[in-house]
Amino acid sequence: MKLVQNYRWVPHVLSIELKKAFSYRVAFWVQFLLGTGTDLSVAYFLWRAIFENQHATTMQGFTFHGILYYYLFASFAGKITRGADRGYLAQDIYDGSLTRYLLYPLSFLGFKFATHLTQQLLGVFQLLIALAFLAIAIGGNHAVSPASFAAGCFTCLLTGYLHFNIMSCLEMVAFWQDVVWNLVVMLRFSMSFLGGALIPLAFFPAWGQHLVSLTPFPILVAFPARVFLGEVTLHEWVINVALLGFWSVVFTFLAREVWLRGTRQYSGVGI
Amino acid sequence: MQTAIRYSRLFGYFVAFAFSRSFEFRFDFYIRIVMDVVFYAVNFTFFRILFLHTPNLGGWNEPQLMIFVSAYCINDAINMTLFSNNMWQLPLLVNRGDLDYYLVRPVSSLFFVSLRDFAANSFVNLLITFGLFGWAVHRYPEPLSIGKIALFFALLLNGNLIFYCLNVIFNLAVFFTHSSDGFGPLVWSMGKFGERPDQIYTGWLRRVITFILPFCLISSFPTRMLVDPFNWRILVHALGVSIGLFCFLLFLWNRSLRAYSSASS
Repeated sequence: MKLVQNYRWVPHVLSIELKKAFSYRVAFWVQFLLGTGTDLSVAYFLWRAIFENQHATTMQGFTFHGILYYYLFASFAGKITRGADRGYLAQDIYDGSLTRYLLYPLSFLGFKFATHLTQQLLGVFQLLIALAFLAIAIGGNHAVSPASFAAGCFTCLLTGYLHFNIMSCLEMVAFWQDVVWNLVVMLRFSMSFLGGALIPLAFFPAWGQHLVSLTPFPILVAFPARVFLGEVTLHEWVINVALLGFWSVVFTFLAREVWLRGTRQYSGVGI
Repeated sequence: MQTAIRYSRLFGYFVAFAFSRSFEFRFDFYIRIVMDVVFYAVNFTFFRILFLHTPNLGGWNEPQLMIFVSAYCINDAINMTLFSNNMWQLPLLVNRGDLDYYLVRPVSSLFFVSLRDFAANSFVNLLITFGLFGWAVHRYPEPLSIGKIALFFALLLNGNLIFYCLNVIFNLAVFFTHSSDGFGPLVWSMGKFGERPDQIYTGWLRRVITFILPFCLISSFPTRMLVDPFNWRILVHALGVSIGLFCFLLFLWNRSLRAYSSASS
């Protein structure tokens, strides 16, 4: 009961963040529609060229329609996992507005995680729209079941927590350095490529797949994408979630350490 | 002539300031170099992996594709060096009313807004991308004439002008929507069309991305000029589109300035 009382502010934060996201509706929808449209179009033409070239009906276990659905889910799994993807903490440190959060009776990282959660919910909403569009546009037998969709969304919430902690570690470098956006962009490149959003991991050579599996990136993108597609058994899901839990503990601990050292360093007047 | 010298000198000052500023923020200086190297590595590896599963893509074999990838890495580096910082700041200038300071200066406001912040760290990356291009040319199995390479670079610069125009045009939306970044992020999303060979696209989409939103002219057309037999249509097409787009940009810039209402924007 006390736990619920402690987090009464969360729905308010969600509501405010949603209002902020929709305050520039035209920009929001245009960016979503054209951004998603571009991703899917590029994947469509690229893989159509490859499949036609090879006269193949399947490649590395993917049919042509199957690979398009994979790209849709990998793209959105990455998007939902990343949330807002920038400006979590660094800006507050730079301009000194972190000070007010230190005075508020709530956890700063908890507050930021709630804003991250809002962006994740928006990602789920956008995925539903994209899914409907793709089902109409190309058809195919890859329509997801409600169960796999729900499992995918739940998995993305978990991967979102890990990503939030990785991002927090990088953004809190702002306690010591003036510019950190480069680190965030590097994380995005790595996540996109090593996570399997740019090209399915099944296309990597065996040694590459092994190397990638040692990083947390496949769990952040390829794993939730495969959950959406209903390709993951319960046993495999449990193993991957355990791995996700391991990485989450590592980065939660790291983020906490960086936070404690950073706030000791923080001068309160920005940089 | 005098105007050109004046603008060149002004640009020279921008560059000098940029280098002294860059060494003030050394962490950013080095990390940005690393960031772009990661970007290049990802792109080269992406196509190397694809070529494990197909002998050619969009009519190009692997050595030709490597030249294409190095072409868009050079384009990216030029853009990051000259324009990207400025384009990220444009929405802020408009929304905060800081554009006022640019409008009252006795130089072209578009010149000032577009080139003021030279990214010295990305200039290092530009040198790296030339190295990548050299590597791609070195492993190319056929001889490439100096004339073709000169045409390639001419079209590459033309492609950069096209990307710059698109970048500004997308950002100009901020004058009307007053959102935090206009449609700026879209140019990066839609730029992905230009990161694949243009011959894979067909139908109406191909017409759109070679005429209206000509992302395919940025790196694909220069590469075609280098690795395919000479085709004057490519040259005329690329130059015609860039001239048209630049005229459209000037028209839109003037219209946008009329809509600008300083800090109240």
